[in-house]
Amino acid sequence: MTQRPGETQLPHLFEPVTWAGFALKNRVKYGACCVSNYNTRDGFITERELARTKVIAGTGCGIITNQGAYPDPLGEGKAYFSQIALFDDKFIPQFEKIAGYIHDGGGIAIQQILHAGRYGGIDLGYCIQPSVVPQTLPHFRPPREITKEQIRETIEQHAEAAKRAIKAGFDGTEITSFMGYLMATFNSKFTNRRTDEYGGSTVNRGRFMRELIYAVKAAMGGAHPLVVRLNGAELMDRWGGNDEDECYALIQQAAECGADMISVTVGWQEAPDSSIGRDVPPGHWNRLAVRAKQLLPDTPIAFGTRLPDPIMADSCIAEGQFDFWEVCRPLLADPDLVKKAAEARLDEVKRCIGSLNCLSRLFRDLPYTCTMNPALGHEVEPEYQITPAAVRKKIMIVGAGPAGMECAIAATRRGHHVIVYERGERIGGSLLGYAAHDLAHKDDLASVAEYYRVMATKLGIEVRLGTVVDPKMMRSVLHQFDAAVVAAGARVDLQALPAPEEEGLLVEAMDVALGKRQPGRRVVMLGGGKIGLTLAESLKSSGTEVVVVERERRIAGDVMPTWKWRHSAWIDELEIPTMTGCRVTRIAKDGVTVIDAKGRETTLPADMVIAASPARGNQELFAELEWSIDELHGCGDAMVPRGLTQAIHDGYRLGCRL
Amino acid sequence: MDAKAEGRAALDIAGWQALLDRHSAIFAGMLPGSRIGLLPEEDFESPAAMMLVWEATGNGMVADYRCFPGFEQAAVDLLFVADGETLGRLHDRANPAPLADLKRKVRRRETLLYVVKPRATLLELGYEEFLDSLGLAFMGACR
Repeated sequence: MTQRPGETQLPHLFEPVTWAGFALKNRVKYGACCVSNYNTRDGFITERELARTKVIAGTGCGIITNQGAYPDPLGEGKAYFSQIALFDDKFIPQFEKIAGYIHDGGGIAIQQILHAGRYGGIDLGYCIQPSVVPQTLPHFRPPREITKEQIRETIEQHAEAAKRAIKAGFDGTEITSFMGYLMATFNSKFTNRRTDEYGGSTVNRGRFMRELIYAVKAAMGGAHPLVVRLNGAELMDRWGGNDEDECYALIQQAAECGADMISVTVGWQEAPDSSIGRDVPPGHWNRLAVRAKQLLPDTPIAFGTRLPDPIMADSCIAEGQFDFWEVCRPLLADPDLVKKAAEARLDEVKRCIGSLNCLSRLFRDLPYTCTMNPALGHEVEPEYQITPAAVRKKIMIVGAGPAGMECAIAATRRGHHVIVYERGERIGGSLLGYAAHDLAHKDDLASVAEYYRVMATKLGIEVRLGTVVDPKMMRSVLHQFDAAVVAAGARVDLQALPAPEEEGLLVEAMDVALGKRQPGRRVVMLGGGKIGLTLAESLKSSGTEVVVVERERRIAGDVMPTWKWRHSAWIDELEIPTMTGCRVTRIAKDGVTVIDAKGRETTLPADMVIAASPARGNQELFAELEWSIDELHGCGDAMVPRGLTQAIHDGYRLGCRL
Repeated sequence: MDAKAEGRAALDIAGWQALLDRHSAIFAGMLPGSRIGLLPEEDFESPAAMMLVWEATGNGMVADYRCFPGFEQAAVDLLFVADGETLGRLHDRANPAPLADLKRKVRRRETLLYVVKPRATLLELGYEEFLDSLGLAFMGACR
């Protein structure tokens, strides 16, 4: 078969290999890192899930791991609101479909069996783990100590679930101690304080894992491989968890028991440090895979934690750091990532930006979605698919931010002729300002704007930069368009703030963020939401004194739930004072006067006051365009200012139905 | 007097009581019998560990030292495990924002907070304001 250009450029990643007797087309393993929450409350798979799985099956990965199914009828192992189950033969027909899809796509099908242990029992009033060590996150259930009889039952349940997976047509299974699930709670000193043969030494703590491996392998039979996911680092050692040496001793035990692949993961849910967020640089954890490979040169090692880049993955494989690139979130953001890599079209990849929108939703018991991929989870709905337009239209889009560009790309792919008008000099809108000041990893957010630039070029979308759409301009294009989309973003509602006593004292956050205004040396930031915080953190890092004033009781109110702690931590680390529950009463040359909930007045000295909120949509064009165009629509922050995820989703959905 | 007893003497009950009295509004909604434990990190594994307990009485919070008999018998709703320095700063009458310090330490996981009772129970017991003040509405899962 002829090699595609990217396969030549990334020869290690795309090298066909044999693993456990199975011929694989490449060294990419789709990781079961997320449970979708698309299924029924009693563990059955829905049409929504099946449609999603067809997309996963088509990603082009050599190995595809289906999301974790809990193995026990009581649901002690159930971690997520709508997790799939495999504790009974009644579930087998649906798993047959999934295995079939994966095989049709040319992948090897692995079913993960996930007993969540400490994070399980979501429908119960408790969870089970080796010892009663209370939760440190309020989301989870109080623990009960698992008895020896329950240990035997649980192992049997895993084995039976594995047998069902094989019966359904899966090629192998995976067991997981990722993040603090049941196996991890036995392995870790943090949660295992038993004094019997399952607790104490590393060998004793690993006993449950070893018995599990033996039982599952015996249940499956020799022809079916078992993958074991284990922490290379728990990040819990500060509080009595395993150090890395102990983690690797356990990894070695798993290999010696016959694990056919070790998937190395990082961190517990309750760990103090980031492991997968945008604030962790790509490649940061690769050393953990290297250590596993050095320890176990003959055992295949899969790795992918915060390693979103196929080029880096190819290099790692070439250098012998690991054997398989395990990837999940990047394939949520762009299911065609592997194909695009194979076709040398990486510039067309929508990157996972590590917003953790997926996990924020899971821990609110919602189906997961993706900031970057609006169709994720809606594969079963025609309304979310790009289909040829019944009537080809000429469409003007006002604004080249994420909402406008998503709309433009979707509409163009459907066959419409689209022209985008942008008052700024670059594609990206306010995202450019936000990206420039992101302390986490500027390149991730900047990549979104770059993706739009590339796609506009490749799809032939005309983007007229430096063009203001106003009544005069509209008269010049009258009757040239069938539809207009206002995606003009939002601005700060200055009318909601006291008028500054001197001109130039009050500036808009985005003007500073985009470099149109130089910040002062002593700044008061009005608004402790994501825009205000991001800019405040960046300014403080550059030496500006900043105080954040927020009207609400708490900062970061509009920030993604799994990212709030990050801003709070930066605010602490940078020692940025925050005044919450405060209303601004005066903006003068000597500073800003605020009044708190108890009526106490404070004047904060400042040579610049930056307004980051409240935001209001730029909607003036609706009135201007109403009687000059056939169809008029709006999307993104112009309608309701909510941020990047909603802008992308709004724009895409509108583009799909214009 | 051993070093641990000396440490407890330095962090006297009067000082803890003063802290609770100064911040009574945060604890105002707690039902009588609600208890928060604070355990020195260095005592965590000790069979003779003593923990500080803040207990709601219906007439304000009362501070007391008690034995820490392990998680299952501790009879507290929340348990902070903190190092001596953190406890010292919390106890220090000159500290203008001791609970903000605690919040910061919990967020950084330099102080570990065990949520012994389920969240729903905590809310029933009147912990909303206290949990809110610590920023625990949604903390930390999967970073």
